[in-house]
Amino acid sequence: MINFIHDFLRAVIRVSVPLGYAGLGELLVEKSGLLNISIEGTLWLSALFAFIVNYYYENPYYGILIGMFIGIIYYLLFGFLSMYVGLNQVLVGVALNLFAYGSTFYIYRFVFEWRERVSIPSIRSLMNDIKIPFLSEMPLLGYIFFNQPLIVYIFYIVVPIIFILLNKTIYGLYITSIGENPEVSDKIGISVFKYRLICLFIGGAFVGLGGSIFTTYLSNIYLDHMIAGRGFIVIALLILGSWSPLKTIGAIILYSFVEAFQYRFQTLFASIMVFLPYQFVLMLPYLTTVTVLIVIGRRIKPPSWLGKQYIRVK
Amino acid sequence: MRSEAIVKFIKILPIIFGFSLLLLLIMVLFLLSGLNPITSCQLLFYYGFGTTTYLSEAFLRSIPILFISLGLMFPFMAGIWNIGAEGQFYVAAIVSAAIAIYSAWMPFPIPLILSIIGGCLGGAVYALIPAYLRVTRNVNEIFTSLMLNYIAIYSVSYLILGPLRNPTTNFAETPPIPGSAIIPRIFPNLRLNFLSILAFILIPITLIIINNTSFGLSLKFMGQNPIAAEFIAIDKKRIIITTMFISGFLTGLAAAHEVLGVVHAVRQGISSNYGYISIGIVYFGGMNPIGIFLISLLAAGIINGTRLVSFFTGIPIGLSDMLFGALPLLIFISNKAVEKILNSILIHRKRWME
Repeated sequence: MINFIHDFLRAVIRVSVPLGYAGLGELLVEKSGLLNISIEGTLWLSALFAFIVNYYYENPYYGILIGMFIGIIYYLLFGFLSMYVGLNQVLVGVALNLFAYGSTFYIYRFVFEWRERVSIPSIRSLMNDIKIPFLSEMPLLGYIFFNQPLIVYIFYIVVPIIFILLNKTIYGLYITSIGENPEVSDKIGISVFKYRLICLFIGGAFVGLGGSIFTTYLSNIYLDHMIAGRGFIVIALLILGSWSPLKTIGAIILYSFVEAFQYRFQTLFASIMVFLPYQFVLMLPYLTTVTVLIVIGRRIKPPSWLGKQYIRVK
Repeated sequence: MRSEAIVKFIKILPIIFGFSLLLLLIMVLFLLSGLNPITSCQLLFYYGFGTTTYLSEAFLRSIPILFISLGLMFPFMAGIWNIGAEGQFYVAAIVSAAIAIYSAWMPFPIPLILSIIGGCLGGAVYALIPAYLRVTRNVNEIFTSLMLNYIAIYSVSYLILGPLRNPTTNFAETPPIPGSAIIPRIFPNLRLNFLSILAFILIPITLIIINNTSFGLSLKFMGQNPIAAEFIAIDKKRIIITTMFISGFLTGLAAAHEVLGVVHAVRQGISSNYGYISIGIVYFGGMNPIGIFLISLLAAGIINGTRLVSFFTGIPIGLSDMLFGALPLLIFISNKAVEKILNSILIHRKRWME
């Protein structure tokens, strides 16, 4: 039984890390006042490209790198269209999502010669677990926290860095003030466009990294709908965490408990699963967010300029 | 008179420019998939609009897009971001299918009418949730409508795999719609039905509402300048509720048309992204019913055409989704480009005249 709980908790960490990276990336971008719905499309594309590179070069870290690259490109494209061309952010997000749905479907079949192939292409080289010498022998927590792949350890470091960046440094203050009111920020000499581009760059890298974990660690095959709205789940969890890094990570871990539970206990408690269909698990974050918005909607405050357009007046 | 014609031409110019960009993109994609771009483009337009059957299919596909975009035009005009058309479509589809299946014992027109009305109200009520939250709690409707989309999609997926599953087939779909709730066809050999006519009747109606009523004027006012709208006592709350109701209602009609008239069941992915495609189409059509009609017809033809070309030449489908992601972006970019070029020409000319 204790082994079972151990495995379950490890699975929770494993499920929460990709969402956590994506959440932190989107958090940075939304803090600076850009509402990027195309996080969903970015996850789709980076998962696919990570899969392709990993399949041909048999090295998951190349996959991660290409995923980050795709994330950066897609986020900067969003930034270009919404900030410089001046399109509405929601419209750009929806359009980029559609483009990603169509192009992943197409590219996957195009690259893996859809008609000739009989078997589903699968990867042999997933990321390995690395045991940290002393920490992994800790009685309870060692196996859960310190017997994970490299990408999880980096996540442990990234969370406090983002927290400190946003809450304790002058740059965090700049980003927050740009999200609250870019006009005033511009007048007092903060370069709105520069900081937004930096946020998009870092955020895109994180989101792409999150997307590529799906095909370099969690699964050895690629499915068309493997992301299945997780980008929107991240947006929902950001609202639940009221745009604060630690609360968002908390919300993501809570959601991961449910998702890991659903994976692990599906066979064990088949009778319960009749009452708790899998669609309900996927629906849960949205339901919770909508309920929370209904109950305490007034107290959850997004950055004031989130989704609004800012045009610099010369 | 002449200057009016020039203004009209300038308005159409970005659309032409955008479409040529789109055509170029299609050709590049065909070239990348190893086809001859020019003949495949000809094939695309042949399969899209070439014969009576293909043309009627294009009309048929354009009708849900037309319904949804005409509905979405109202909230967008007032600056309200309803991106929940996808979810409203699913809810309306399952409601009208359920009513049709459970009221099949009644004589012919009653189940049909009941399920159309039920579908419309289902979509409308679902659209009212974000509107209500926006009005009472000041919650951003973008978030709520986005969340409600997925709640709807998963609920429908649960229903068609569980309680409403077709017992005779292995697919995730509802039992077929009984004959007493199927919308009759206009011509026996084409799939267009009598509800399709309503879409075309709606075009002049919406045009009149937007241009000739005080409601239309206040919509535009609120969209253009929300702060000033408060000063002249435009009831924002009422507008939010009404526009969202209209948009949900028309999305419901689109779903009823699709379920009762075309597919005759509810399947997974019944909406084929119409809810998202329509958002781009509304903007592309310049928030004008006639523009929306033309663009949706063209879009429907291109969707059908790319699907058939992909099918016959053996390249993977998915091209049409890609194109409709790129379409609004291309249009907007071309819009900006034309604007800039015109501005620079005008400035240049003014200087020259001085």
